[in-house]
Amino acid sequence: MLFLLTCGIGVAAGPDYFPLYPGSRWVYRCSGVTCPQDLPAVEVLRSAEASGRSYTVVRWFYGREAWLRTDDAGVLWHYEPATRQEGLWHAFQTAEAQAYATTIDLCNPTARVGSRAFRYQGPVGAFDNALRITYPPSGCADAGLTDEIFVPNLGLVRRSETTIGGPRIFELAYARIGNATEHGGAQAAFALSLDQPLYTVDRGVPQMTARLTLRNTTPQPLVLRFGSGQTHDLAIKNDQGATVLRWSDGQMFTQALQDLTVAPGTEKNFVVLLALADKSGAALPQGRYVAEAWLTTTGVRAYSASAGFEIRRVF
Amino acid sequence: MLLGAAFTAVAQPDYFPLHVGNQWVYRGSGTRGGTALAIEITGTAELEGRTYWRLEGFPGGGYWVRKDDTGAMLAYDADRKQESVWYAFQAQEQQVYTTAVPGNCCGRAVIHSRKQKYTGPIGESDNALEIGYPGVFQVGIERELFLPYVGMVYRNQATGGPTYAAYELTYARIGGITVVSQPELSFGLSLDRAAYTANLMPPVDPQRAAPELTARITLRNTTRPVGLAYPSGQDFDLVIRDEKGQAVYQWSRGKAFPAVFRNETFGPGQKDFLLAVRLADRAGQPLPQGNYVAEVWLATEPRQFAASVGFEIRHIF
Repeated sequence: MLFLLTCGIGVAAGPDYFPLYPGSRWVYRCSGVTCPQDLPAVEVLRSAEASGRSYTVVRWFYGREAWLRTDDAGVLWHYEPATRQEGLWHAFQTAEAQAYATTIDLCNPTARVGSRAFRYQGPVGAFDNALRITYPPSGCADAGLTDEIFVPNLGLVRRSETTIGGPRIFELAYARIGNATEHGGAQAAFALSLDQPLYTVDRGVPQMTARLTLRNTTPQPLVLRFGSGQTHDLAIKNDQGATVLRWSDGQMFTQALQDLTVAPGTEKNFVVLLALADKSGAALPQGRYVAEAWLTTTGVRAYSASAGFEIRRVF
Repeated sequence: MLLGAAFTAVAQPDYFPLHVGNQWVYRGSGTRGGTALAIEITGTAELEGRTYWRLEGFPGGGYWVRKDDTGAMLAYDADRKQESVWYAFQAQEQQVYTTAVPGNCCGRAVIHSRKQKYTGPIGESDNALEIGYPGVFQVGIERELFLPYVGMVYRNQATGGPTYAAYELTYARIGGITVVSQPELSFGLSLDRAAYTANLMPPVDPQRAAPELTARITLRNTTRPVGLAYPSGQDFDLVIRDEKGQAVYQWSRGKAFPAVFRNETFGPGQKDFLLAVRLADRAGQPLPQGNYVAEVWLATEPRQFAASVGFEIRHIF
């Protein structure tokens, strides 16, 4: 099993400007007049071998795959399977104000390291140790890269391109580095997590563990009002949409109003443990279901989430 | 790679990270079967000239805790105005120390190992710190395991007679960005704000004053693969509803999708869909002030994954 990852905090020879760990992904938002319909998600897909070297295959901008590796000096190399050629994309360790040759874009044969202490502020946060790489004008008219900004242990946070319709800017909106580090910037978020997508019925009744997470990383506290001591609920619906089980059935709650404040930078987790049984105590029939969970705030149902799962009998 | 492997440059690993917002969720077993325990750090305060963190959810109530220069975790008793050691993480192995951690029976603890093997819901490690509590009879904590930079991952305790209970860590968020969890199937919606402001102060053009909402839809599956059946090329949709439940915006309205049925097997992995929505009516005017709900779903048939998050629109004149 491999769930825990450290993301290389400060022990490598130099900062890791492009952490190519399994599970890493970077989601960008686009501004400018020529943004693609589908916003780009750069994602580590798999590892691969070529010419005796190990590469990380990444879904790159505009849907194409890129085979990448970082050498011991921190240089980011790109391998092109069609030509079996390797080219240098980024010499991150290059001194400030110095240029290096790159193959990252046909229109940009040269890149220049601007600053390693560039102050960047964007959707995922503010950093004062960003690396800015600029691309001097080349022979291409209205095409190519303008600049890129990298943050140690996070990756590419901003990319500016020149297009015939004007500048196109991608800014990192969300990143997961490895399996255990998540950068989402300011967000008001609600999610439902189930411990399994498939519950099997053998002798006993299967048990579901569900977690409702309300996360607030906006600058303002979230204040929730509840009309009773109950804060959340969860219903199980069958494939006909009928509710067959409800967590709060038979439970007692105090009748007093209560407020719950979710402070900036914090979250609230509500865990529901539920036996997937009918009122007689027998396991629910085999089939497809949806678990629907929500916070029982007063007024409209503002925070809810649902996830599908299956119950299967094992004979 | 196991957690903590990259932290060897630090002399003393942090076995109980104290950061406002940290969360640990445990699943009970034995006599605590069918229960969950959630603990969190909710704030800080200056007490007797020192900074303490508020630990909530631990058995017995809320506590003010801190760590000293050696890495030991101490708790402050406001009534007695004194602090006591809960965890002497820096103590030598096999050396008994005095502890006041709630739930222990006999006031003594000993670090058995810093290289204990741990396998549990969140993964595995071979550098867990194991604390034992000698002298337990009938009731009390017997054994705890801590992982560097994660915190307590396991606790076993006697609960009277020949009965036992255990808690296993199933989810933790540490320092805002580090997340560990048991294998899960998760769906959620994130908005970039909880309140959006339309600036209508003259001479701003009202058609340009509508704020923009950025929504991220995330399906994450670290369990076994799941099947997703899409009746068209559409992956997802988003609707914004006003306080009356009326849809005032739908992302897919006016969009065409290929009429092709798609069966997909997904996972382990993660899907993210990011979309920006201008909070304006069809005439381009900012939506009225009020409370709204953004509702999203994957466009599978039948609908299996959906989420909603409330937000507010304010006008300033």
